[in-house]
Formats: sequence, structure tokens, C-alpha cells
Amino acid sequence: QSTSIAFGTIKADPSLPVEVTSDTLEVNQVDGSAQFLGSVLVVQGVMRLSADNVLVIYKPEQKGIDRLEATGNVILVNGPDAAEAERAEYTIDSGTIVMNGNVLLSQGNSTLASSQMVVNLNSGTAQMSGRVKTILNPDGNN
Amino acid sequence: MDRYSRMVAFLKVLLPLTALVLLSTLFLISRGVDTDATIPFAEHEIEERMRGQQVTAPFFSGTTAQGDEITVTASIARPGGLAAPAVATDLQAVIKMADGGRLTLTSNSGEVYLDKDIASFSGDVVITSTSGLEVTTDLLNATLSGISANSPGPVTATGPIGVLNAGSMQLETKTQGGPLQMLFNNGVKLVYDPQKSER
Repeated sequence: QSTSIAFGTIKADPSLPVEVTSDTLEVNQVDGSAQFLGSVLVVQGVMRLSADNVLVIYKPEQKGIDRLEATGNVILVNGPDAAEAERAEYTIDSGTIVMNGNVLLSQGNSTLASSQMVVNLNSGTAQMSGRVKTILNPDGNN
Repeated sequence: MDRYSRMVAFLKVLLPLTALVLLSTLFLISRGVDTDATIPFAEHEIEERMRGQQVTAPFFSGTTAQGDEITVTASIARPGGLAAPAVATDLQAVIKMADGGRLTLTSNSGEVYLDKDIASFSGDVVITSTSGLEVTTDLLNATLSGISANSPGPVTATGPIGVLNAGSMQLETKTQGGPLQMLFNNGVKLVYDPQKSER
């Protein structure tokens, strides 16, 4: 089953410049693929995505970056909400982030866990699917 | 002696004299050749040439063990002495890799240390690779016997990936015979602007 919830207060704008910082970057000279390694941090406007390594996939004919594949304790922070997963795929132009591998989303004092989550930055909504489990703290403190 | 023989005798004297006068105008009165024409070299150029041998527009090409072709050209190259390295100016190196990639490298000047098997390029070094990445740095040390280079200083790169700057850069094949990798390390910062690529 799947639930859709609001994610992040401000609507992120996918046309903002994306800034990626990391310890090292490997650019393969034959096929041109690029891999960021070592505490990689992707920042775009309000959205911040950190992971151990991020692989860059290009659009055809190197016209730009199609998507970023982050693996290794991925943490996505967008405004007050934070989500954690093993892998995440961020398609820049469409502004969607697909996170899978025991996703843990914490919003305010409630946390949701599921196997997959699709975040749409433009509309600011997130769609969690696959064994969604919510942990509500009735007394308000977590 | 009748008139005719007197006239002939007179002409016998007059005609050689006029011939002599005509001939002398060729040498005595003529403007004269200025023998010390100015040589087209400036003084310091001669001294420079005298100081040591120099190869103009040298061309060097070779292939590495893995079959990558390297061709290096420069505007002027001076052979190095025992301690001094060979120096070249306006270097341009083109590396055609066996597996299809292509790297061009240009720099203002370069030194070749044969004993240390290193060629160091300095002075706004620009490396462009097939992956559309253009890397600029101000010093790059490359090994001569294979394809591997590192730039100890800060590096900036632009390409389809965006604008990037890093603390240092290494160019090497990680696994033996594997693809050539360009490693940017100690701190990489990339800014990618989606709008720029859309147009």
C-alpha cells in the first residue's frame, strides 16, 4: 500500500543550480562517467542530499546531467523534514527523487518507514510505498 | 700625309680615349655598392642563439606500452645540461588512447627531466578530454613512460558536468590496462546549472 504526504514546506525549484561537494571525484576518460566519493553533499536551494558516493549520469550527447545516483546512507533534508535510505536517484529536470532500501522519513514528531519513497520536489509531496509503517508519538515528545 | 690618313691617325688616339672615359664612368663615377648591408637579426637574438643549441618547432611522437599514441610539439626547445632540464615553450601534446579516448594538453612552457622520467608543464596548462571536460591548472607533472599525470595545485574544470574546482588532480589508470581516470581530490566543489544546459 502507499500513502502520499507533504514533504518539505517550501516548493523546491529544480532549475536552481545544483552544487555538489565531496572529497574526491573520478571522471572516467573513456565513457565520461563521473563518480563523487567521500561524504558527498548535493545542495539545491532548500534541498540537501548527502551520501557516501554519487554517480552522475549524463543526458545523451553530454548535453547536461540527467540524474544523480546516490548510494550509501543517503540522507535527504528538505526544510524541516528529513528522510534516510540506502539508495536515492535524483532526476534533476523532473525534480523527482526516488529513494529505496528501508526508507525512514521523520516529520515533526512522527516517523514513517517503508521500502520505497518517491519525492516530487516541485509539488512538495512524497509517495511512500511498500510496507509503510508509521510510528506516532501520542504524547508529542520524541 | 693626306687628310684621310691624318684623320685616321687622329681618330686612333681619340676613340680609345673616349672608350677609356666611358669605362671609367662604370667604376669611378657610379654610385657605388653599399657593402655593409644591415643583418636582419637583433643583437640580443644573436647572443641568445649563441648561448646554447635550440630546436625550433620540435616534434616528438611515440606510443606507450598499452598502445596509446602521444605526439608533443612546441615552438622552441632547448636541450638540458646534466643538472638543468630540457626546456620547451608553447607546448602542445595530443594523446590518442588505445581505447578511443583523446586528450589534448597545452601549456606556456614545459621542462623535461629525463633522469626523473617526468615532464612538468607550467603556465596556464589546459587539458581537454573527449568527455568534454576542460581542466585548467598552472602546474602539471606527467610521467614520460606512461600516461599518468598529477597537478599538485588547485584545478578548475568546466564541461557538461558543470563548473568544478578541486584541490588537486590526478590522471591515471587505476587498474592495469583499465580505463584512464581523472581523479580530483582534496575537496571537490561542483556547480551545475540546469538552465544552461537546457538551451
